[in-house]
Amino acid sequence: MKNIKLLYFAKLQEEAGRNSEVVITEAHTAANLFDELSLKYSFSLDSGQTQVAINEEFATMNSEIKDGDEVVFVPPVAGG
Amino acid sequence: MFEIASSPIDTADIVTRFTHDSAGALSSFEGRVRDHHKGRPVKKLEYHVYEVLAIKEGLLILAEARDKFPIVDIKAVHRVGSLEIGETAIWIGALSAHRNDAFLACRYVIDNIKHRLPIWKKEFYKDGTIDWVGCTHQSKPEIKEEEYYSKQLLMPGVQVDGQERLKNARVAVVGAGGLGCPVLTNLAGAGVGHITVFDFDKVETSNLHRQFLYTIDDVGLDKAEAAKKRLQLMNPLIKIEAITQRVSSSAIWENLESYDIVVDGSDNLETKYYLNQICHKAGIPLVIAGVFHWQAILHTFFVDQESGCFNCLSDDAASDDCVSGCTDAGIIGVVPNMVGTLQANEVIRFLLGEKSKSATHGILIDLKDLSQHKIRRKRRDGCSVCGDSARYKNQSVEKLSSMAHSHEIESEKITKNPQRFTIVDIRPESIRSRNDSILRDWPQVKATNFEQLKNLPQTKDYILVCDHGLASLVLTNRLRHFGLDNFYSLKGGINSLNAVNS
Repeated sequence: MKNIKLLYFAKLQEEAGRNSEVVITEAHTAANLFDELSLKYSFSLDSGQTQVAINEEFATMNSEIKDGDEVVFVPPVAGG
Repeated sequence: MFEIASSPIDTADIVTRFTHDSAGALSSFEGRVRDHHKGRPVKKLEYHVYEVLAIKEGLLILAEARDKFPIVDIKAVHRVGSLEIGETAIWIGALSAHRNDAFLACRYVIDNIKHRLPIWKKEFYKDGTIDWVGCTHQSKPEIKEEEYYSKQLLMPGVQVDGQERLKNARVAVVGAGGLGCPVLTNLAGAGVGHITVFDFDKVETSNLHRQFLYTIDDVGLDKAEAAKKRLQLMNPLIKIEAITQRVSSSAIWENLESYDIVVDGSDNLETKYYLNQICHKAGIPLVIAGVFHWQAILHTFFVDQESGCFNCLSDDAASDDCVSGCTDAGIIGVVPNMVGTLQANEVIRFLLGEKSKSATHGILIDLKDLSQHKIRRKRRDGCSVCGDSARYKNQSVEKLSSMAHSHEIESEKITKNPQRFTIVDIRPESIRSRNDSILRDWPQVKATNFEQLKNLPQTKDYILVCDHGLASLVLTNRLRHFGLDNFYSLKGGINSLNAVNS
């Protein structure tokens, strides 16, 4: 079991109804964790549409997550 | 300098203060809030940001622009929070000596900011609705295998069984350039289930006329990654893996034996010899092609005793112009695209269980008159890879790879002992002037091919130098194979030497 800190932004923030939370999970990869959260919050985006940042660095959805990581799922961006 | 601003951006003030005596040009881009989006009237919008990462990524984009274009300075400010129609959302400015670099740098920064910064735009429409731009779930039509492959399933020799064989196959494609692009496109389209793309280069503008997997937006990106992205859009039903390390790095071939077949799409003989060595050792079939002007050659090696290997084709002592690839000789797209497509054909037919005629022959094609010649191959007894006394015969792939690297010397070492080694710049004359001033301080001799190198006095230690360190490494290994233990290869090539000295 690992403790993961999650920050939510934009559409995922609205759908999760919170800015952040700590979850206890057995998810191995970021994609596994996203799927877990998606079941809980019925996200309208799927894991193929989001990117992930782990500890303030962009990573891939199949990156391993470790106890104490800060994870942010990044919905499709629209800067500029 | 990259900033996130939560209050209005004072562009007049930034422009006044953003100046440099050596800059003859300031090019700036300003993005503003407009009153419509995809036909819907917009009232206002909100930008949300993940600030820590946005600043990191923003600084990275600016650093990339500095790296790519000779500019004096570059700056960007992105607004966040609530914005009214007409307000400035982003300001980017580039200073350069001449205008073109500033224009290009500005363009590069805005294009990348739009796709990479963790910033989101929430639009409030006049009809009272609200939407996150880019986040609307556009339900893509679900792609079904039966439908995607429906025309191919009708092909005699494919059908359900054949399609299943393609789906379960793993193919490694080395090089995602002129040959690699058509190989990859055809394999992905046919439904090869796992394709690994190896390429350590970036996409360059001069690739676009023949490498049709890439667009102008990919220039500067990793080729393997850009190819993966494009192929995945074309066929989402298969798995594509992108490897951006050099193929001579042993670690990436740890699971060589898991591939059914390897395709060479490289532009140099050294990679072809290297792949031949490791594939022959592991018993993996290899499809090699090469192009020169309007001619192309294609070989498929199935590791049998009769028809030999790629190394059998040349006498080990044959002269070998080690780095003049097709790109130095000139190249037109139709030639690599045609022979790359034939390579894919070889792979597909092999995976479908149909042995190719080319198993025993090399195919030489001349596009000037569309003629084709088959040249029978034969195993050469003295071949150092598959001959009777093959030196590599009893060595594992891992050992072969690590042995291949044991004669590399790091650039730091030679800069510390400038007199110990004699430098041999093996690059062709035509590209040598590019960055060779760094070599002036060392003793040098002139030799560019195997024959000349073999005849150098054996009383000295030589370091072979090429652009990236691959051509020199393969040549070093060939020389050492002949007992010439006084040759070394400069790791990373002349580029690493420049890095140490700058």
